[in-house]
Amino acid sequence: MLLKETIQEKIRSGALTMKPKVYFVLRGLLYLVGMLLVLGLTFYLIGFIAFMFRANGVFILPEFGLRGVRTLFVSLPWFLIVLVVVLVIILELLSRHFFFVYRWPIVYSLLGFVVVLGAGGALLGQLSIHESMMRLAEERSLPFAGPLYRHFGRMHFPDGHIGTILATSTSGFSLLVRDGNIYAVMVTPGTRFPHGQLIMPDDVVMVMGLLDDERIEAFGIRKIDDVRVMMPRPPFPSPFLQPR
Amino acid sequence: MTTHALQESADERIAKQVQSGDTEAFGVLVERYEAKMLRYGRKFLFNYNDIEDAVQTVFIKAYANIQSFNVTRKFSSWLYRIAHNTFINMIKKKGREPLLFFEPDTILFHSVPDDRADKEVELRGIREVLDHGLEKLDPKYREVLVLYYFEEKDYREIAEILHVPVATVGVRLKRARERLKSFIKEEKI
Repeated sequence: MLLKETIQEKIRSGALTMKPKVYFVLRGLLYLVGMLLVLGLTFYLIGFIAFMFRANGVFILPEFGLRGVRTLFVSLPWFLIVLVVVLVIILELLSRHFFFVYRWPIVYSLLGFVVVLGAGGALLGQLSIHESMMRLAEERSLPFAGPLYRHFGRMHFPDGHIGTILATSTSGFSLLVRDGNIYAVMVTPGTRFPHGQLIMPDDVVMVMGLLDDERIEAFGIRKIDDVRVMMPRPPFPSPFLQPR
Repeated sequence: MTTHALQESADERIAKQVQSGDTEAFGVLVERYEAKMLRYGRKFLFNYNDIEDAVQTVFIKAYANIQSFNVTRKFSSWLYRIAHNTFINMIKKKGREPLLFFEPDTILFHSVPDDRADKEVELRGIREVLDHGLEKLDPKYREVLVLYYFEEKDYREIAEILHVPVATVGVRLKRARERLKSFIKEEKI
């Protein structure tokens, strides 16, 4: 039997049927919704990472030179970064279904995603909604994203300590750090500090130096002027009290 | 529409009729493309026995999915895309040849050479040479040669069928020809 006849026979007998148009419309919608969900999640995670960096004063670390860069590198939220990379790859694979994407080299569409997601995520990271969610998470009132905020929200730097200066002395100052502990910071002639800058009680600073029995010998000190860095201030009415 | 009028119609018009419920009109499309699909299959899957079954599967899939065909685009590219997917699945199932999940030549931008100039110079004897050398090539190079030299598709159509950038088609063709040339040299054809 000729192929044409075989196919027509299958059609006539009902063995071969056409999928209805609505099937393709729904499939297309499902695809679109899936893409939007992945896109939204990626935006949110990049926004969250940007919030983490801002709220934890990460951008100050490179000012301490190589030591600060090393601390920054080991403290990065690698799990979240890898998750974002995986999501971008999924987005790229999903978007190659569309002709306006597969007609271009992968590097173009990937670059497009990176630029749009990076810029959008960075903007989302500036929103105060993250601060509110962090507060709710720490009060255990945030149902879904709570563990994310509690686990990643407050970054820990092995030798970087953010805190508020309580009092100064001839040898240094006492520093109230974010977990409520008070450390004695020893300032030596070798301590790196911006020329001409004064530190006073109530200033929020990052101190670089190893903690040893509630004492920190300061390798470097930087003032933090960004009021959005998460800091408690005495007498701790809220963990998100603004430093100024 | 009469059978004669149908025979004269463009593929896209017939496809539209099938979409509207004239299922018999699908036979005209099968008639038109059966030989082409068999040739494409035989050249691309030279190493496989069940080409006729694969081509039948292509038409079955085309009929089942015809409502997804956009009549403002080219029917032949759409059908060849279905054939490409079917043949690639066949290669994957039998696992006789290596297929990459991700093709590195689609990553970067390449300039697009003028396909017409290449074609006219090389078409004369190349089909004969291809018949001897095709089986030595990787599927991704073999397929692009088959589509270009035997199915006479231009770069743009091949790009639509394979879902790759137009420039990638040019790069693959160039590499395929280079590999073929070195094979011919080795075998002294």
